[in-house]
Amino acid sequence: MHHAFEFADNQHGVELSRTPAGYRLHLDETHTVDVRVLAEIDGRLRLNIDGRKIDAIIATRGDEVFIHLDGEAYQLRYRHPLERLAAQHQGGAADGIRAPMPGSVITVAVAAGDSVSRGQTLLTMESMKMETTLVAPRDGVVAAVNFAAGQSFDRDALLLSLESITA
Amino acid sequence: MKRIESQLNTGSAEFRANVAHNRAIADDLKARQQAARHERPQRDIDRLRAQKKLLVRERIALLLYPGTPFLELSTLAAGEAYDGSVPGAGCVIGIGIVAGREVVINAGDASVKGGAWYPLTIKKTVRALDIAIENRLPVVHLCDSAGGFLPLQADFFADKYAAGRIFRNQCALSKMGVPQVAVVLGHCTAGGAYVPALSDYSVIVRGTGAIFLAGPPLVKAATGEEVTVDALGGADMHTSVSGTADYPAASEEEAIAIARDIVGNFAKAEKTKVQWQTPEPPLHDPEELYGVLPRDIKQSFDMREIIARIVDGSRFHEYQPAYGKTLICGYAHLWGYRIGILANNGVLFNDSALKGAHFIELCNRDRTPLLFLQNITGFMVGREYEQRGITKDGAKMIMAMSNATVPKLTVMCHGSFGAGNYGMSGRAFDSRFLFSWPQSQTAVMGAEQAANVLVDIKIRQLARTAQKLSPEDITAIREPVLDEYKRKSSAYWSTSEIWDDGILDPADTRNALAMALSAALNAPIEEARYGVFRM
Repeated sequence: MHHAFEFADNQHGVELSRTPAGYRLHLDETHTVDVRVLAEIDGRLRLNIDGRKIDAIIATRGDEVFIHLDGEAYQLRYRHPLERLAAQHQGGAADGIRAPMPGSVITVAVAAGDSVSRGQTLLTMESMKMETTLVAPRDGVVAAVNFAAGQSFDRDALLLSLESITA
Repeated sequence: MKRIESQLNTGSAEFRANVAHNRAIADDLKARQQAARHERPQRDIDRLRAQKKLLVRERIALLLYPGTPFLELSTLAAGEAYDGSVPGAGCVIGIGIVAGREVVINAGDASVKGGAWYPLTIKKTVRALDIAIENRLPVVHLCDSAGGFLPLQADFFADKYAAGRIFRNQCALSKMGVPQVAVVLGHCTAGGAYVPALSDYSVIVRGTGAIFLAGPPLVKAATGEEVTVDALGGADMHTSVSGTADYPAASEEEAIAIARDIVGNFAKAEKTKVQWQTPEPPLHDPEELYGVLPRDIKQSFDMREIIARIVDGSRFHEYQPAYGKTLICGYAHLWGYRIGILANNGVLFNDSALKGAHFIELCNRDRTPLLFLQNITGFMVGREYEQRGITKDGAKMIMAMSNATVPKLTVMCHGSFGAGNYGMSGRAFDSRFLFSWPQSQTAVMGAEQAANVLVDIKIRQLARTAQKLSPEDITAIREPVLDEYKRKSSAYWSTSEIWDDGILDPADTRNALAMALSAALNAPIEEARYGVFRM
């Protein structure tokens, strides 16, 4: 099974497989480490990692993983491998905000040059008697606003664009 | 499976305003449910107490396995009918655990008009038995009814889905091998007498329970014979002479205990196997649903925010995320059960309808139950879309959805207008269970548009008699039309007419759906087979 963690701002991919006695951690092509859970009571674990006995306390909150080990506290963030890979390719496709359906603009909340953060309202539109709010798909700067309030447009019209982040 | 990344800003003024608005709506729902369940004129309660009868909810509490939840259905049936004088339509139905078995409970409520059957009482009872048939669930009937409400007999007697259907459904269940037990806690007169007679097992309480085709007054009128209730149809006569009932009981408590023992002898159902994994609570708090739902029916919102607050771990595998984006399709787990979800993020286009049809076929092939989350104004209109075949693409989705054999569950989350209601497994399409959220609206079109159409017609009629209307006149015509239309589009109207199986507080949806799904898996999933798809 593929896993991914974020630790101290770094991403780590981890692969884990089953063994008759527990698990095997694949560090790279050639290095593996055997892991066994010897006891687990309410987050207190006694592990056997590569022959060494290790005691640790592990607590989770959502995707946050808190580990207490050898008098030190560590915080990891579990990332779904899909999420980690998708994050590496952000931008690009999300530069243009296109109309999900034909309709007309009710309000435009931003102007060219504005900095916007992910999830911020860019524009509200009406179509088929429904009001829809379009939000920024990522952080960025508005490059152009192509429609004004009251104007109508077809499906897939480029309503707004963000400045490309590849530059 | 990846978690849904919530875009919701829980600190925003918008979120807080939505929370305040929707919490007030949920509180109002609970107040209405409380009233429908418990508020009765004191004289009705005194009368039952004098007869040494328990109230219907006390009976159900004795019947249920301790500590298990009861999924009550259609609590607010008839809430908008009969001037509100028949709370709950005079009966209580739902799914509960009795002696470790999931059963349908069908209980008359004698604190409402003596348990008389109104047209909506019968509709609700027939629905309870339909649920038993569709999901192969045993039934426990708690009988206590004064008989049909005579002034409305024309509305409940002879039609296909009228009172006779109750008995027809009982026979159908018996033929399927699904057991029923009736507990006679009051009078079962005329049609009502067949409920215990058609059950596999019947228990009757000495003194208060009675079964007869006609009570003593009617017998006297018909033949002149004078006879007491006990001699005519009491517990001892029926259990020792006629054999119409099986077990006499000295009290309601004993009768219900006998019923529990009978159910404990039923074979335990072999549940249909579907994919299941260890359940996980949603990462995003279901209480935040109050902040997701907008205050205006016209306002749209991202259905992923709803899904994130219903499913296990807020995890969702979205299918075709870049195609037909106005219909979100994907897999999730609900209390461990793998399900396929279809949720509206706008009007249905050709591509969204095709995606929906394809996704339904995938789920149906893989025996993955379907959950439809409705917020839909309909299919896209206009020349361009007609030329692209929007109607035939919609027909494909309806064909796939109608003929899917996996259990379907539907929640009316916000708007449900036009043919969108159909495409997303509305009431007519036999979802095993259909629930509404309290602020949702269901109608052939939105209230504003419908009111405008209706007002236009009226203005044209008046114009023929050469009357010119002032704006005030138009408002005077429009407002009552709009009010009436809004009332009949509301969730409370829907549930009153039993177009759904009850209104849910959005925060309870996850649990209610899981109980519904667990119940649905008592029936086997038939082989998938469809009609002809118009290509």
